[in-house]
Amino acid sequence: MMKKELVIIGAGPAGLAAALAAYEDGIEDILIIEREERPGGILNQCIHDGFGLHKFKEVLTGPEYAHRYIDKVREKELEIMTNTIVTELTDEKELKAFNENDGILHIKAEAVILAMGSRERTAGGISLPGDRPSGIYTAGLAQNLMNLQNIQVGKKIVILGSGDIGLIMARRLTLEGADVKAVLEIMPYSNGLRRNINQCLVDYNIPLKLSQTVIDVKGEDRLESVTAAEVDESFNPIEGTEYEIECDTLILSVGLIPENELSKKANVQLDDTTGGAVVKDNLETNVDGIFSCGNVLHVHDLVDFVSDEAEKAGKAAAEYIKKGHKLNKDNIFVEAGSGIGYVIPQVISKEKDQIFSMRVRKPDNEKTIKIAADGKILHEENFEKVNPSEMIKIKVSSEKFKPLEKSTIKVVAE
Amino acid sequence: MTEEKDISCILCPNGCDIKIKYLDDEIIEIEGALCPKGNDYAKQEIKNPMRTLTSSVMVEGGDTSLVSVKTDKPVPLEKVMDIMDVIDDLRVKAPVSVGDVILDSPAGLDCSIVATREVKINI
Repeated sequence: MMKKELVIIGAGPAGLAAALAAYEDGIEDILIIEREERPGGILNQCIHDGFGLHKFKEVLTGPEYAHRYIDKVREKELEIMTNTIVTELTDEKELKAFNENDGILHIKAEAVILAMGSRERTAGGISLPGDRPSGIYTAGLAQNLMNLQNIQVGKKIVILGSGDIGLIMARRLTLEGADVKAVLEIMPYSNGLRRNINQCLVDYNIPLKLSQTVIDVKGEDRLESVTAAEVDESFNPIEGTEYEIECDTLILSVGLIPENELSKKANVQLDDTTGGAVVKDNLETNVDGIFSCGNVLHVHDLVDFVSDEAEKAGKAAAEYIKKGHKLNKDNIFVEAGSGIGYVIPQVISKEKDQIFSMRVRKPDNEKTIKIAADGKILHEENFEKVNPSEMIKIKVSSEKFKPLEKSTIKVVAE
Repeated sequence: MTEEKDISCILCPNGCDIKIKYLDDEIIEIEGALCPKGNDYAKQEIKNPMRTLTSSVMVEGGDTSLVSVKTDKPVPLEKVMDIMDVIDDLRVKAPVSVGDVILDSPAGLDCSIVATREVKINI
């Protein structure tokens, strides 16, 4: 059995940043396992710009952002095993992986960082009605085909869902000569970043149809049309509003799901709302020495925040390896209250300053986010605008937690 | 007549909503930006919107068939399709490094097309 101090599963932005942070904190025996041919993860196909504003104070494309980390990983000579799939992970931190050259590998790690990212919700996942001809793609798959494999996915396009990847693909397809007829969004607001609506849709006169969805898909071999309709407040189609859009391609940009199959095998406890692990303030899961970061923990809107989070996980894993035992007594539970979708971390210790990452449930103006316990408000912050698509981070000093008696704090938006 | 426009700044994830009032080329009032860059952006949007174009170029003999590219500075939005036409016909030979200039002044514009990823030679 191969022995490693730290094994990181995934060489995307989370895995790479975690590895570098652990290395900086004195861990050199690191193995990063990547199932794709090369490191970089999803960034390799995100050829648009807008990455790195927080981290590098400049605007980079996805591949450029990835390259900065890949370069450093190469410089430190950290081992990345590509084309390798991890199939088993236990709570004893034993892994089974395989690739073409080595066959099956058995690896025992002192600490593991989960950095597997997320996958896309599919046509089946949203119970898309109608036929199943060719021409229905998830947005990330279409992006992969176009940007990495030079395959044009279609000519007349309808996009369902206005998440960022969908918006980016609307522009990308237009630039490559396709006719993007509309972006349909079932919610009364877009789930994408404002700047993407502006530079991807408005710039190219692509209509964004809010409170609309696809109620039928028609086509025998290739997609021929979709039927769209307006929806009411409960997202049910409103009779009489349906209309047909002729198209050969339907792109689904309907959400990402953290990819936690391995986590489950290791008995990592998952959060129903995020789909990712329940973590302590050092990003350690309920399983001793297994940490989680990036989109496998919760879906991020900015890669810069993924890198920050992964660095934290990398440092925590390094500390764990060096100390070789449980790190701290985490005893305060964090709950998402009214108006808040979720909060990370879910468990904190009183001794440390905390940064809470959260999302509100719906877009709004003039909101106050309050962090309360024992019937008292520990911290509050005002926001002019809040939006579920934009993650909110709130810093709270440990001073505020020290006098706490109760073991639960609640975060609400009022 | 004075005109009014709401502009969402695209420069950073803050995405400030900027209100701008103007008469022809003259700015009368501008508010809503969290930083001065936002004001400049809004003024530019009124005059002549500028965008960084990202796309990909075909590679010969590389370990991937495409190299992702960008314009090294923002170009007028109305010229973006002209550059896309040029990019369509471009071919580049592997290897390519990040930052390599693929083409100078595409469509006669004051910018270069540069590579944003590396492509190794296919062995």
